[in-house]
Amino acid sequence: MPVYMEPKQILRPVSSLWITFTFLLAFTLNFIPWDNRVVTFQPDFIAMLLIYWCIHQPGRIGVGIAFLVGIIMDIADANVFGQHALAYVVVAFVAWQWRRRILMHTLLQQSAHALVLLLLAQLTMVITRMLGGGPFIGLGYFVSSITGALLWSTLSHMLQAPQRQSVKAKYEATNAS
Amino acid sequence: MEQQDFFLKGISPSVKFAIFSLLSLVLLLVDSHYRVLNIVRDVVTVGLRPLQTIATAPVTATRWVSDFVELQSNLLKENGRLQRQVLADNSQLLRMQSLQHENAELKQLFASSQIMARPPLYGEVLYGGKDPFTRKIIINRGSNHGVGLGQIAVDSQGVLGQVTRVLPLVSEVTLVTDRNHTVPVRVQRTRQRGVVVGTGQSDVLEMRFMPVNVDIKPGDILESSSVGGIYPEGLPVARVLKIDHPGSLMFARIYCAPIGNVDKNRYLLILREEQAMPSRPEEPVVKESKSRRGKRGVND
Repeated sequence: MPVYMEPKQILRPVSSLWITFTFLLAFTLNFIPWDNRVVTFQPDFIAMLLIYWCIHQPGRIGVGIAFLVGIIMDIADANVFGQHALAYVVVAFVAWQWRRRILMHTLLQQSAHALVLLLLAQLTMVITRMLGGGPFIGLGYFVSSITGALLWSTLSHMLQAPQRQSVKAKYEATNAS
Repeated sequence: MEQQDFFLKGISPSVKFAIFSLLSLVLLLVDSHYRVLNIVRDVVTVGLRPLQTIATAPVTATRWVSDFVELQSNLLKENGRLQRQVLADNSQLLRMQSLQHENAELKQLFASSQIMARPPLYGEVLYGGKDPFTRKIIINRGSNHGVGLGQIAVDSQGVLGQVTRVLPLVSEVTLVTDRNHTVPVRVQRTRQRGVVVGTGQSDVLEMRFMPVNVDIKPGDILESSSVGGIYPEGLPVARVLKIDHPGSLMFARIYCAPIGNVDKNRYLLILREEQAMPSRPEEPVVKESKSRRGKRGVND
């Protein structure tokens, strides 16, 4: 098994404010009214964020938050109650189970894991809808998971930016004095 | 698995997972069978409104900018075109008014149902619904502006859909292409009644329950019939594309395309006509006829 053995930067602890802010940002991104053609490519930012935080902050973000966020998504999308909630709960749980394994990999390998998790979320939603009597929606629906996986490394870098920056700032500040 | 944490922190995630997935399943069942959670929905929607405004801000801004920097020559051209259109429409309108008077008088003679005309509401599409399983749009008019449940949305070409959820500031229109949406129609040429059902694809509707030998040709216009009392009469709904006669089925398969710009329009009108319905007949209706199915105009 390839293990990511390069020295890692020590990150500052994450503030709860930052986590809340990222969720607000992800909601806003999810609400952007895309064209019908673009919307198939738009990844579910909330799902990506949940996976990220479940891996990196398993003590804070977990199944409970996933449920809450899912309910909000259901309402915003005018969906049946519980569809997103169920998908996010499943994904958050699996991400929590896999968190140690995923963190051992490089970002590229992590995005493969993210792809599986995002597909799992979409599959859960499709299955719940089909149990409710809906039709199979077609394979094009799953394209957004691939975009999500492609964006994974960018997302990781962006989410870690404040933690890195504060370390650097503190280091420079102590050196200067 | 049990040895993962040194310290116990509340309930274990596996138990939490079980609890919350069960809870979501219960919610799914409750919400799809009984509409009891609408209050929660309303409250949370109001809370989410600022975020949605921020999210739609770039779109609103680009629309505003593109409106602002529109070339004058284009504007002049469009203005000229619209002027000509107004002239043409006005001449028709004059004739229409006299016809309407005549029609109203005739209807009074027959003591038939009156249509209460209220001015239509003008609205703008905010965004398309995100749920890929349904076909819905969100518009910028709500109950504060006078939108009511079950009202019909049209554009300049034809019927778009029906208001299915009303919130104070916005409302949700289910398009005719939605899988659960049914429109009572009649064929303009032959006055044959029927129902048109959405397929979930953006450009295909299906006319159901028509016998194999029905007189419908490709190119026929289907207009709304007032059967069911929800749709006003005579609005163009769809154009027939293709008719299949599969030997194995009792009914012909009639595919149509929506006439209204269901996916591309930005502006729409909400019609607020209400038809005074006669009271229900006292004797129970024994036979479920075709046109009666059209009564289920509201999708659920």
